[in-house]
Amino acid sequence: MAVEVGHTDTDNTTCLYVPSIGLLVAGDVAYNDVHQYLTECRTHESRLEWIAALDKVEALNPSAVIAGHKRVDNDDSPRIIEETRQYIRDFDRLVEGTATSRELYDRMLDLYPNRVNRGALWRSARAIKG
Amino acid sequence: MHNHTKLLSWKVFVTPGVATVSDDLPPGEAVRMWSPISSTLIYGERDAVLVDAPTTVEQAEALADWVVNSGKEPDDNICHSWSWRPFLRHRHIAGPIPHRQGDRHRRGLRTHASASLASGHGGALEQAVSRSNPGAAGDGGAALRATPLTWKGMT
Repeated sequence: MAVEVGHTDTDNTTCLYVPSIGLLVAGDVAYNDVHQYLTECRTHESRLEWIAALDKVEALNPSAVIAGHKRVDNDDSPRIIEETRQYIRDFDRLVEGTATSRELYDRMLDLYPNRVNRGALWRSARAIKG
Repeated sequence: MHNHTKLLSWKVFVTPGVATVSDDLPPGEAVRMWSPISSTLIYGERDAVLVDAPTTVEQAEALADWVVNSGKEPDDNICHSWSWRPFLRHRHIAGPIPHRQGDRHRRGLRTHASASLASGHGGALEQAVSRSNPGAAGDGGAALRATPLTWKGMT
């Protein structure tokens, strides 16, 4: 079944949930150890919307969550729901606590030095800070 | 003959990230990469659903090979393709078309790079699932086909 979750990495996003096997195919609502695309989350409110979407899919209590962007060979644990949420919280907090895109980028990398694709983080930082 | 109560199964194929063109490289990075992309095959005894496709023809062909060689691929089945990637920053989506007909050992793979999308935002995914024609399998052969997606409402 399709689960409409509204704004996440972009507008009008959807997850696919298969109740009989507890499988959530999350699209880009959840990420698995890859820097998240926050370019279209320029406001605090839009970032809260993404977090609310993660709350919604977590309530389904899936046993596996497939992220649209995942590190090759990672497992598909539901823990990525919280990891995705925490990344947004950290980004949101650092948006307020930094002055430049470079500073935001560097502070996020301090927290997430090993996530895949720093370019996605750079793009997010540039979208917010110019 | 078939056990219709059998649970569905799933497996994931991850297309590795590839280099992209950018005039705004991240500090200290030599290249701008595209993130790795997951495609999920959900399958039962006879039918399968392929969720999400990568972006280039080469990637789609690798995905198609994986589907056909998965070993879990059901016979004379139908493969749908579902995607939530109407977002236009990707601009295009390659619809992988694993296409197997007739002789198992003479597998044919076709790949359609399709659906160049207009720029802008707000497009709704009009048709996420489209059903292939199971009759295309011919005499006792197997057809596995993920049809390209179509969108409407792009602005």
